[in-house]
Amino acid sequence: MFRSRADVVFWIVLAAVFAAGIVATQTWSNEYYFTAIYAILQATIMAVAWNILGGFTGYVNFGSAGFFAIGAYTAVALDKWLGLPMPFLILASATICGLMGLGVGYLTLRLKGVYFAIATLAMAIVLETLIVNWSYVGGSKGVYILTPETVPFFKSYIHLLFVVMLGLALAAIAVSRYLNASRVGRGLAAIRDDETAAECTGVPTLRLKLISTTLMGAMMGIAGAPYPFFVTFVDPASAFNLFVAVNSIAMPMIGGTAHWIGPVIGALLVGSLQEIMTVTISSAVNVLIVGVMLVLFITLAPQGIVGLVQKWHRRGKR
Amino acid sequence: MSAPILKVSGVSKRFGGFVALEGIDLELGANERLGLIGPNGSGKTTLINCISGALSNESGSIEFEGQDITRLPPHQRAARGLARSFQIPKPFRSMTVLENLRVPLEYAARGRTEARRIDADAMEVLELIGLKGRANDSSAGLTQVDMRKLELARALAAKPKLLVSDEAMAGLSSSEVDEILEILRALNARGVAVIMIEHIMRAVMGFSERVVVLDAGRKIADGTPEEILHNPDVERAYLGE
Repeated sequence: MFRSRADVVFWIVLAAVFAAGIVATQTWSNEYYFTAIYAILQATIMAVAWNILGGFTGYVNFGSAGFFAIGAYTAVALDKWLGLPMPFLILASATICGLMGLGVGYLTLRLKGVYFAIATLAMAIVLETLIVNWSYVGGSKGVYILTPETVPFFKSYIHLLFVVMLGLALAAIAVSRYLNASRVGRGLAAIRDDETAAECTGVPTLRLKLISTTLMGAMMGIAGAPYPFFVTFVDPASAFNLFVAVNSIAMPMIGGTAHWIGPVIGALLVGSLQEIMTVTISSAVNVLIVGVMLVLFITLAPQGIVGLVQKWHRRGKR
Repeated sequence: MSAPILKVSGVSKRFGGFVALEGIDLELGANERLGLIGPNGSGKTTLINCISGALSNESGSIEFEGQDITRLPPHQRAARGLARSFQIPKPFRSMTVLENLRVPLEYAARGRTEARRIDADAMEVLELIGLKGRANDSSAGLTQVDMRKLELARALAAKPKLLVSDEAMAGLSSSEVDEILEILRALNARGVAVIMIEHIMRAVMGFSERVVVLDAGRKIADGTPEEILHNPDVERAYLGE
């Protein structure tokens, strides 16, 4: 875990952020901040998850919302059926969405580029149709979730959810960072750069792609599991929202997809801007922001913010 | 000839109605230098795609070190010591030159490489190839000749027993061709068998101990460079009647 000084710094920062989050729940009284930051954290997990398949492995996909929603509905169903506590719901969502990632990966990874992207979009639509017709979890009408009035250690339920989400986001970042620098990560990068050459240098491309889709699915599921308790009302239209999928693609693109920090920067930047715009102007401006930023970055800085920084860094050295 | 390292028996490959390869037989001794030539479209690249596993042949079998590898995916063939370079260089563009070599060392040659030796082994290959000075440069910014050297270096980093070099010298200057030939000879001296696909006759005839000629998907000649040069069938294939 602590192989270099960068590792030590990374874990200290992570611990500090988590500690600061806990301190904030004990000192800040305005609940708005926690809902706002919760949304940013959720976006961070999704951006990190998308980037494992879309960025590290180079398989751009539109299925994020599907995995996220299945994560949310797994939590809804298990909460209603067995009343399991939150950690089990998160674990169950991660498992189900991870398996779904594995299955979808196996079926669709033979497709490349645009065809793969379209197949994942179709998958999300199929899943939405399934949920719409499943009355146990509310069908198209949606379902209300009751959250406890009081919770131990925290002043309110939203504080607890906030801390859970903070822990999950930090864990997702740590996994993504570890993966990026690992042997598997190098194999994924080789697949992204040239799949044929990767296979011929000994990289088991199919197996690594399946690891990638499984991990992506599990992380999306984890982001979705606490969502019903956060919003207290879920329906297919909001869970399968295309905007959610677009966000999780746009954020890594804006931050930079090749490096683990890219989606984190993108999510923090875009997520914060969206929250500020929602409060100061209107929630409709949200969509505009993502659109404009995405177009700007794709045309002017296709490697994202990380790419820009690396370019300046190289120029500085010369 | 010692026990063959590679044995291709009756390999055929069709693309729709087009017969790219028909009943190719080929044997290669350990540490042998084989030249594979033929006019454009004669099936050279298709044959090595079948050998490396990028394409699967419809009939016939391929044995490597006495074991049938016909149905193995390319990465498992690479792990057994069968490496190839590509005609059009395919570097991992997001990586540095050194990182490009880490991939085969960490995958294909994994069972034959100590984890802490990976960077040292990579540098050794770069030294042999003459790319040591560029180890930390981005592979996307290399010159054409360096790109081809990287292509070979990456194949070598897989610690192959058999290297298939697909037109590693196309488009290079005469002195650059000599550089690449030097590298391949040095490699062969270490005990690696080499199949060289090349259009530059001086290079392939000078390098190879044996030359196989393909024409329209069939093997039309197999012999020493001397015999091939005087073979009437080969002359006909290249120059017409």
